[in-house]
Amino acid sequence: MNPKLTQKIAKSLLCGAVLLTSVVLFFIIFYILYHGLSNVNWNFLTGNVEDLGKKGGIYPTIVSTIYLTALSVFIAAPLGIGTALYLTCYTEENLFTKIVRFGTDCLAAIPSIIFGLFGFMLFVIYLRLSWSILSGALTLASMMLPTIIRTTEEAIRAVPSSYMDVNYALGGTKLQGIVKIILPKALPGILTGVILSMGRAVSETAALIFTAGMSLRVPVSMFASGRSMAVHFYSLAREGISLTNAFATASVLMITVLIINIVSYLIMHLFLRKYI
Amino acid sequence: MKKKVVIENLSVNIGKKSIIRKFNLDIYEHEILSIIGPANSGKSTFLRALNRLLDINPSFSVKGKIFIDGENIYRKEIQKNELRKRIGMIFALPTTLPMSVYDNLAYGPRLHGETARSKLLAKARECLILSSLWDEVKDRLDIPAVRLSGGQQQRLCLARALMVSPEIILFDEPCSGLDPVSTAKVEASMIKLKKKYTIVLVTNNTKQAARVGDRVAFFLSGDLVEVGKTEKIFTAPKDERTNGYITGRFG
Repeated sequence: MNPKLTQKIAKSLLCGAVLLTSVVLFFIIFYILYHGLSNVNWNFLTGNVEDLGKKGGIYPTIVSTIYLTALSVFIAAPLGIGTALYLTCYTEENLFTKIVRFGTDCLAAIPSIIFGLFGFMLFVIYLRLSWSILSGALTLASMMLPTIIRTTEEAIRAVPSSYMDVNYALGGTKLQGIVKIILPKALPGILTGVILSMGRAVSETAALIFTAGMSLRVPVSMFASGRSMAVHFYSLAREGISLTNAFATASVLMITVLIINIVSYLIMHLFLRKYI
Repeated sequence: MKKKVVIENLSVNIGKKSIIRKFNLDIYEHEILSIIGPANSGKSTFLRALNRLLDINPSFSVKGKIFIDGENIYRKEIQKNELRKRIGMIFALPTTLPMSVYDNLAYGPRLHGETARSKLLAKARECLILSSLWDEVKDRLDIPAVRLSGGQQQRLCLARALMVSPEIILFDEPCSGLDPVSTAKVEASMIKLKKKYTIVLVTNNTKQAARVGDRVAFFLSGDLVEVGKTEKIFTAPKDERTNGYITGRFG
């Protein structure tokens, strides 16, 4: 075939793929915002849930979502980044690291409802944490770990090993090299992983129904039950309580995710400029 | 002349494979010893044995002794960080760290606890002048180091190594990625540095060895074949293999 023609066909096929993807994406976003945004107002954001969600606002679910997400990131990020650091910087490639890596890959592919069941058995029943923000956050954290470990590992591996040679040649220790060069250089990659997994946590439902419960009150502590926005949305839509409020909740959820992403990319950009 | 480094029966293996076979060599204070030889002859490995950088990779095993100022650096109690501080190293490719020019220079001293900006700046100026880079970067110390050209980056690496006040400087093919003008600048710096430091230069470029080296050591497949005054090696080598390499018959 004429190479110019091949180029043209390839280009139009790829362009078509982009167009189709964007149409689908924007349609979903537009559809939800169109049906939801008109019901989002100050009272909806700050009011208590009334009549199981038929009336009133979603303030408690916003608070629960923030609690759950923040707590789970707080648990999963140090653990995941630490694990990845150990796997990449402190061990040689051996059977142990292969097993850990295989394990995390398997965990990443497990559906969230299984995590929910696991969290229910371990945290809620066995550890007697009952349905609580803490149980939910611990479950979410176990779900986030594989993503954080893998992305952090990739980010650290992408840092040239010659930097460490420089560090050693100047008389630096391994830890100094990791803290002063590797982690800052890998930070954008690590943050991407954390943000991705945070997105998963914000929008998680199945795992949370089993572990954080469905309470409609504002959680007073880590040990109180709480309902996240995603769970609230699920309940509103699934049980036919109020479709308008369901869409309104979905809009708020989507905007929250958007804000999280924008803020984290801004932070990352600032860092990138400093570290090239 | 005073012996700065004395190497006794040094050999390096990876597993059972021999990388460098037993040899002895002295390095004198304030000389430039150039090490030449084809690829895979153990030049860089030898260099990395001198500052114990081989230890990073546990598959290397080093036997023998290296004395620096009479102190065996392969004894157990040695503080590797202190040792490496005394021995600067410049790598084949410019390895600037992902930070500003100033932070690159301050990196070494900061590792050892020096953080006062005024002191660091004074030292940075001194080291940049020694590496012939001061005039080019004096107004741009805060730009990212990667924005400098390749040759400038390599001279920055040299200045960075000087920041921790080493006594010996190891150059591992420092000009392999540089154009002739930058190469000339790096070589000029080396000759300047000789007065204060002891220099070991690994190079693939025999002409470079002839230009800057006081003495030349020729390595071939893990053996130290011959070592002697530069003029001697290049005009009347004792070993036939040395002659073959410098006249370009192989390598």
